[in-house]
Amino acid sequence: MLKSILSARTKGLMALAALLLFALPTAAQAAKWYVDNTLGEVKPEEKKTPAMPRPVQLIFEFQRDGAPNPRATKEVKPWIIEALQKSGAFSEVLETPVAGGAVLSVTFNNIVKKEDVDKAKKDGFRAGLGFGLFGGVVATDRYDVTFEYLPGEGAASIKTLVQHALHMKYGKKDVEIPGTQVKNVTEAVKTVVRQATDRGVNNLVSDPAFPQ
Amino acid sequence: MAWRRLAFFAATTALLALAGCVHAQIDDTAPSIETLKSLRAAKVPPIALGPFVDAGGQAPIARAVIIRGSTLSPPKGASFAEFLGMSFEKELRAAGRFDASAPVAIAGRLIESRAGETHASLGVRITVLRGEGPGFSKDYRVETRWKGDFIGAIAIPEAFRQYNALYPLLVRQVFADPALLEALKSP
Repeated sequence: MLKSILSARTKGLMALAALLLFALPTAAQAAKWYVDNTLGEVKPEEKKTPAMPRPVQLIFEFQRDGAPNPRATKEVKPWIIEALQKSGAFSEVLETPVAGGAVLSVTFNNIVKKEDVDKAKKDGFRAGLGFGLFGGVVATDRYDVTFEYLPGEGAASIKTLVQHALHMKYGKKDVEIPGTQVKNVTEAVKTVVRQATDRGVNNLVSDPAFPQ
Repeated sequence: MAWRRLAFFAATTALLALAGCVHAQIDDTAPSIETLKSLRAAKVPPIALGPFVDAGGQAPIARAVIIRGSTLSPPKGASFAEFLGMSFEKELRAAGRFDASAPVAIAGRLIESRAGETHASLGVRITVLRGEGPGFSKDYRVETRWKGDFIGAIAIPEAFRQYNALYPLLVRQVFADPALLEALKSP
């Protein structure tokens, strides 16, 4: 189920790698997952919370290249809600209209570059045929995460964009990955979602127009 | 070379396995902030939902989507036309503009539904219903094209995703039409 969140390129490489691992497990090397280091965590000294948090209605969508991805939306939404509830920025997070009319829209857009796909497929197939021993591949999934907050009916919105990335390495590839390795793909995607949400909400709350 | 023969066998097995059949159900669509803002800005009153039917009647134009033997079906107990109606309702509810007993309603006839490995399209005729009968009526259509893939594990879910994504896109196109918003407001 989690695969719907990843790009077709990464999924294809995962599937190929998994089957080759099944065919010759001792020879192959498992895929490794890395959360990009650029964004990182919101540090305690950066963290902003309103004095009087208000309820908010969440509208969330996961996209691929700007087009809706309903399955990934369903899978990621609970993680977004959890991150929003823990942020301290809102008294309540609902999916239905709330008193005061505040709305938060979060859009996770998975950006796929054609040249990245072509290269990853070529490297991935070569790495797969060699069971990961004679080459490797690095695939990167990039995410543009847009946050738009409407304080109420008729009020101007506050917007912020957060960028994040997830890297996957399969086989022998001597490259330095600009990320922190996590134990599996679930952990990787959850970390990307949480870090992006924490940063986006903190940016919104830091805006002078955000109701304090 | 033994390892090459083994590698070829493994790769062939992998590609065959990757093309295995899948039976999935279409996923709920998410509302959009753009529609919410449009409905709020136009001050559209709460509206009800009329029937959403397949224009083909007993021979529906929107059957299960079949790609390489794998199928995508509408939600249990519903047709694709009804699923489209549910998508409209979801968008209206999110915007706080749904009232099942409102005197104005929108109804839809699904007039197009196509899905292949590189192309999908969806069309609906929307009609605004009032107490005295049907009023404003207009056709809306969305389509998408993408690059197919020889690996079934990529091609099949991608085709399903592309078709599924047309539902929220069609709903957004309808609610972005100033003529429809005006028709919903007019007494």
